[in-house]
Amino acid sequence: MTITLGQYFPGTSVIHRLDPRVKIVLSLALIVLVFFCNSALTYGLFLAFLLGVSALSRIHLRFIIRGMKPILFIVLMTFVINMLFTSGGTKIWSWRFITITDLGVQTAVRMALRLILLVIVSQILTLTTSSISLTDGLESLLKPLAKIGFPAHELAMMMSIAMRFIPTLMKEADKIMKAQKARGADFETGGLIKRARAMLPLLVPLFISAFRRADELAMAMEARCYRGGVRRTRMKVLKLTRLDAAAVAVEAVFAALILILVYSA
Amino acid sequence: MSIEVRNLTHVYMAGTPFEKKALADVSFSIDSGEFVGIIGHTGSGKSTLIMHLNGLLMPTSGECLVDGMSLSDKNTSLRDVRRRVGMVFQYPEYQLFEETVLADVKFGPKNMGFSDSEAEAGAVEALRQVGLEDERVWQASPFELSGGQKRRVAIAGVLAMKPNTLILDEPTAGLDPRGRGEIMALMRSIHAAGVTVVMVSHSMADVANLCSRALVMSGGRLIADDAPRAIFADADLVKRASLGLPPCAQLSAALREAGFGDIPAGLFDRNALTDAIETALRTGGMTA
Repeated sequence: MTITLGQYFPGTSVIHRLDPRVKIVLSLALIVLVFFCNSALTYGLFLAFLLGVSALSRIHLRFIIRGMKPILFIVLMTFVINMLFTSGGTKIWSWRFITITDLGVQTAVRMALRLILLVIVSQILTLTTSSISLTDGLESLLKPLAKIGFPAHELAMMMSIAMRFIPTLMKEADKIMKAQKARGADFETGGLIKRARAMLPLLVPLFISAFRRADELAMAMEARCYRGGVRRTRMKVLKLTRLDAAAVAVEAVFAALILILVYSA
Repeated sequence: MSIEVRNLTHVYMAGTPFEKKALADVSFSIDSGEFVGIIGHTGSGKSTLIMHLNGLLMPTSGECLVDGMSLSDKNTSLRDVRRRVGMVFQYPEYQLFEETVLADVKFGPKNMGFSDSEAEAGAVEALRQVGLEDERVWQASPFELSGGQKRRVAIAGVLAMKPNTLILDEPTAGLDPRGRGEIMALMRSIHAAGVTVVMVSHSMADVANLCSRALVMSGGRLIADDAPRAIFADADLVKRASLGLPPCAQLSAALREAGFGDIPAGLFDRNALTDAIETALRTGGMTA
């Protein structure tokens, strides 16, 4: 078990206590704002702001950095592609058909920075918000769309069930894998096709058990009279507090600052 | 000597905040031909322990030997070890995946490098051994069978590799009394056929009736290794390891407490208990 991208990290910090709806909306706003940044100053300010937020959330920077690992490859790819295939600007280095221009380097750095900032934003959101409150928040935000027939509650329920069952199925997969290994199955060696075939003794039982669990869960939900989102009330009603207002205000000031810097330049 | 475990320690997720010591300094050996029960509370390390016996888990420190081969040795073929030491997990029917019963039972021997005809012969023999004689069942999909039948197919899938040692984790869990009886009879016949059997069980009655020896686990440690009779007679041990008692032992303990001091502790055999009660009544063995 390793802490992976966006796994909830329990805590009681100010950021943890924010209303999930507010957190989702503010994160979306930050994501949009990233695309306005256009200078070293604005990128720097943005990074400083995010570091400030993560300090407030009391989540060790180590977790955020560790969570970046899976996307490191994408960042590198973006960097290299932008550096090589941006046209225009002055040439700073070339070898055969490869030419690197100053504009290319600039674009590459900007793109990589953007990606990193985007991931940090979404990581702060998911590290400080449990999947349950995340889906609660999402459901409540999508509720207006239910008027035009959008299944907001059902979507949120599906998301939370899916997240709830990830660890269960992982455990199950591990058990089945051990059982098949005890019968001499080999999951580690061989080429792509051989390995794909070797997964069959794992996947068939896993799917069967997933269907069985789904069936049992549906039965248990019906036994407790689950009827979808219609007229369903909540035990924990989401309520906006002064803290949420303060968070919105802080972010609004920050956004204004960035926009002023961008448009006055 | 079939299996030897020396100072086995296993730590899950060592070096992380989730570190958990599951086994601490466990040593024992099992001779070929024995029928050994492993008992202990949930979380006492039984399942972790048995997964070391065929190399599904590797010790953090210490050593496991199967037929004299160390499992930690790079030159030991784990496939060979897994052929010698068959492992039947809890709810083994959840591992079935093939289109027909016969094909599923053949999966193990084929992985072990048996030729198709050898695998088929082994599978047929194993299916007969577990009491599935009907050839129509062999061609059926394993998912069409009843729960008890599925479990027997899964056990056949391990027996088909012709292991000299069979380890079973809770072989009777979730079965009705009839299915239980069938599986217990099957284990007896497997043992009678010369296979060393190790059984993890929560059913003290099963351990009392089948095993000649029991290992008691508690908190990752091996706290007792003795004949079931001696273990169930040791009230302090039973309490310390939070074990239950087989029904007959419960009755004999209750009788002793009620004043029948002549009835020996730890009697779990029905005939022996009946005799003891008879003698006690005849000699007026009320000591209180």
